[in-house]
Amino acid sequence: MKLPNPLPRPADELDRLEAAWQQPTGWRIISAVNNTYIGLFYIGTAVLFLILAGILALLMRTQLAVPENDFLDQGTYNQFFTMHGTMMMFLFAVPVVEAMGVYLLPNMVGARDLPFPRLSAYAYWAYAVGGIVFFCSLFFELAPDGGWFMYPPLTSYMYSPGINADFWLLGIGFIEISAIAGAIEIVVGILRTRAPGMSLDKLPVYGWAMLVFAGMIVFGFPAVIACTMLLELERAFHWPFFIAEQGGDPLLWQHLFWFFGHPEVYIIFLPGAAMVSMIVPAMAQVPLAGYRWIVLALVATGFLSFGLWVHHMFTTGLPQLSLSFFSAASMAVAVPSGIQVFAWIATLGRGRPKLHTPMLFILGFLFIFVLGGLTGVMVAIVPFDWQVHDTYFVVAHFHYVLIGGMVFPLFAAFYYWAPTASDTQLSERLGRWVFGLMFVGFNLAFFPMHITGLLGMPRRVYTYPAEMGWDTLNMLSTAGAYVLGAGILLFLIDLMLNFRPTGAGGSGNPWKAGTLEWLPSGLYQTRSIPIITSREPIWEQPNLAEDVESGRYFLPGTATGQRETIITSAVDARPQYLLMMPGPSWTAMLAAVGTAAFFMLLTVKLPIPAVICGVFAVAMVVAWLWSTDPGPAFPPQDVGGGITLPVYVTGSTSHSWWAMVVLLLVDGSIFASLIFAYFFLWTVNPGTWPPEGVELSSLLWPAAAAALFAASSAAIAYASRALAAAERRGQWPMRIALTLGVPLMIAALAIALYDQWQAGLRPSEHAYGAAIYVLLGYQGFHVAVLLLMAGYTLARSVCGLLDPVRRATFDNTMLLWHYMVGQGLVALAVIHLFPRLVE
Amino acid sequence: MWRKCRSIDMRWLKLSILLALLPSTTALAHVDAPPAPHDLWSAWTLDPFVTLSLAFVAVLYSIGLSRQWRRAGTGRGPKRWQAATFLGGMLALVLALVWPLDALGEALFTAHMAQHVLLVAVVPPLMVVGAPMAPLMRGLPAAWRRRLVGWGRQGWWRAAWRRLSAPGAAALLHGIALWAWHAPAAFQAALANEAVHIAEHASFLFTGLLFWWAIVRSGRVPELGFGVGILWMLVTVIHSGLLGALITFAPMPLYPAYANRAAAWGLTLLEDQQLAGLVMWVPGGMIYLVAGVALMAAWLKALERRAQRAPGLLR
Repeated sequence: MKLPNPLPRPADELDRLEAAWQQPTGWRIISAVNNTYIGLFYIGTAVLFLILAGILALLMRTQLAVPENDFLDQGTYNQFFTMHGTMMMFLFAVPVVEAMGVYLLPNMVGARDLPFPRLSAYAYWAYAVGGIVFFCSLFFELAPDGGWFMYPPLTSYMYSPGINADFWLLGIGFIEISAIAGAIEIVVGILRTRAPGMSLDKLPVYGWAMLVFAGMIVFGFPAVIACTMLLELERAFHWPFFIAEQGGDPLLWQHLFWFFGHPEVYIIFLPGAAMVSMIVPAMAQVPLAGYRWIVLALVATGFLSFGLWVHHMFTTGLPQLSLSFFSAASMAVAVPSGIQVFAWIATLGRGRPKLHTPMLFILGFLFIFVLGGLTGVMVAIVPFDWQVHDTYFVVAHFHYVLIGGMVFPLFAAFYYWAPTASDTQLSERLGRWVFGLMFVGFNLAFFPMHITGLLGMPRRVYTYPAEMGWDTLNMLSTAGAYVLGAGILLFLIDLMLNFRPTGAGGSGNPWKAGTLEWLPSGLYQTRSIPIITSREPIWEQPNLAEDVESGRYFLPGTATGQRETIITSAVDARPQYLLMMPGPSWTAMLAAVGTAAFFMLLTVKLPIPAVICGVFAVAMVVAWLWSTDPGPAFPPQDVGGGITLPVYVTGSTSHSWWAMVVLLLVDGSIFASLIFAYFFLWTVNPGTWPPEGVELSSLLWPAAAAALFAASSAAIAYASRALAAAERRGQWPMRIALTLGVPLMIAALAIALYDQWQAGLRPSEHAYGAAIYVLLGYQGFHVAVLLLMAGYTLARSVCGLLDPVRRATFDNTMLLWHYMVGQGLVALAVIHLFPRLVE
Repeated sequence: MWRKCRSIDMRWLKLSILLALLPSTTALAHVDAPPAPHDLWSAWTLDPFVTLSLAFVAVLYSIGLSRQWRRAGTGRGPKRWQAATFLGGMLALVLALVWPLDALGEALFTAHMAQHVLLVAVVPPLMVVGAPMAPLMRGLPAAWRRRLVGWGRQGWWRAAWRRLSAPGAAALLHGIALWAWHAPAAFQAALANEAVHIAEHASFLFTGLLFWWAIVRSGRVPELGFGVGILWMLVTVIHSGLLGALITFAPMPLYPAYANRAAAWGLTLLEDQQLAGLVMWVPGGMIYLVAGVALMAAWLKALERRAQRAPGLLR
């Protein structure tokens, strides 16, 4: 095959490339935005939270080592188990798999960076600052103490009057926003920045898993954002969503929470399994068996994960008839997991696996995860679940699943991929000890818990009497926990001794693996972007590494003098345009700090400083966005092989359009969760909807509101046409239409709200009113955001940064606008038509 | 030859019209009491409009298929498996509308829901995969066919069709139909009034056909492949699951019109409702799941084939 670019390369080409990707040094390093740096910060912070939450676990195990211990009092213990669970799930497990994705994915698909570097930086800093403040609530005895799933009514204002629960609701709600930002980045990164020729059938399994992962975040996390929103409204303003006496239902929380919580299990497990799918072939030196089967298993798991949430609620008094259905569906999920396990075994069987440290962790994973899967089948059987629910058996089960399914693969991944980041490898000798201690410690700690649970010891008790016969088992578990802790400590020592990240290169390809992240790299990732014709390019495309490094493939330098990567089509990966990417920046980090401060100050009830921080955050976001949407600042550039790519596109080809669409899916899912809440609350009050004393108002007002919303949409559609014709007619028609859209939508919202208010409906009296006002409030949030975006778009027009070609800013505003109108129409229809359609 | 064909067709047509009319005229009127378990074999619904429509489609398809196969050879043009799939779809339609689910739906909400699941998630995919459009068109007299094709070519119709049959729009329409008909007033109106009932079933079936057609077609756009179809399939499994969950977990009866009709089947009103919700949620969801995975498999296969055909980007 003739390669795109000839040798020798111009002398200064590499220097220019390095200059474009130059990273800030010293303390300014925190303004870095490229994925290698952000990825490593992100992984490091997640490991920090693993350690902190692990220390909490050790303190709890110390308390439980002997009966009637008084090492921790009950209140502290409650805060500890809540924080341990919450941090492990929200601050360690999800972020660390996302962080690994941020770090690995661009390398793996042959991109120079993720498509929105500043968004990654924002997501990271929001998570880091928010997470640390959240953890510090422990030192002031303000940490949440209602369990990691925060069931009301315990967590509502009556039984948890302090601000502890608010820390959970605002802190976690906010960290989820960062997870969603990361998921959008990952979807667009995987679909649009793959190296030319890497059609989806050649995407590494890890890429597929991260795509499914991001999809589950997009549809799953909105449910928990919605329910934290509802509970916070109940706590702050007494809107009775979960209070039975006022028409609410605490089960609504459980449904929404587990609608997120079940996919959450796979959000954690699928990336872990996919890491195994990457490591196993390298260890066995043969391609992965059953690629297509594994991809299908991943997709099937993604679908199934949204149907299974109820099996977390077997003991809430579900209809008898339903239990066998859920039991069967729960067991169905064993099929895709089984397919993956057999594929790994087949791969190992075909090759000659070497027992390096990553391989040891994978064997440990297989052992532990299969046991966790077996106890999973046991608790899927309803009578058994009734017996062991809320006992230590369940504690043992989910630690087997989560630590087996995710922590062991993660440590395998640390040992496996460390050479891509560090000049020196981690120590094999220490690594074996780390594995041994973790494996033995884990089983010693958690296996006895199965028995403790069967003997009846409940979860979340801070102590137990001596005569229950639980002493020896608990002592064993505590000893095991310390051994596990020692293993992790040894890992940290190994890191300190041997891990030397440089951000550039690493130490070659020690495992002789076949995928792109093992190509020689620098700060700019790959010197030139290869053409991919196989699933394991390094194995199957001879001389690939040398040719890439000598610059014979696409884009061997920087065409525009800036950071760039090639955007390719979503399925076939044909080159479409050259994306210019921003370099180091403070704005994203400051915006994140401002956002975190806004939420935290709100939690401690300091509204004025909170608003100041919020305004600061918005200002920083605007400053960060202002330099994006550069327009066609350069003519189309030659990237080699006779391919000339434009540097700017708009419309459905552009990466920003894709990101906007994914964001709208998230937005729609939050709205759908609120709609679900509305209907759910109706099903508990079917005869009294609306409740007695509330009159339905006439349909005139909502019809007027709907008409105004539709008119505002029409105004924006007209503005879009006017912008396209701006060459001939100037920008004023567009500006006027856009400006006109704003009062129309505000008037529509105001009418919709006024209509309810004048009818005497108040949100704090009954769940009916609360459900209506939350729908309208969510619409109000969109109106406020669009007000800001319309102002921003007008400002860009006035500053000459908007024209018929350079219009991505306008297009994004327009997409959100039309979505907002559609959402408003649905909300009005539900609020006003549905009560007329019930008997 | 042509003349002969035509005379055969006319005979078929007359025969089937007769067959369809025969029972419906003698139809045992309407049994007032809802059917009980022992009525299973006599649980026929012989609404002339429905049976005639079904017979019409079946006849049209048979004529068209026989014409196509006679010209090109059996199994050519429409494949045997496609014909079998379409036949399966027709049978499912008969199960849903003629025997036994429609009549049982008078007594059991669960049977009613099973009927709806057939109409939205079994009949449409079978029919769409069976690719019946060519045989159906062939079955029409040539003049009608030309006129239909002429209508189909008109600009406004094509523009409207293009918009409606985009996967997102089709999924949205189908979703709206699904949710809107479950509002108590709408649902109970369908129980009380046969015309409303037919409108309900028609909107399920036709938006279902549109949805599945759009999904199966989505693979034809190489730029996106089945990806978009899989996405909307996921959205559909989620929202139909949520609707099923609402019905399953409702602590009180939502459609009191069923009163105690299910008593003969050993179910209370609430239990029947729960079972109905579950039928929509779990088996219904499983169909979407299988469809999503099948689309994924077809997509991967197509991609691999395409990669083999046209390797490399540089010519």
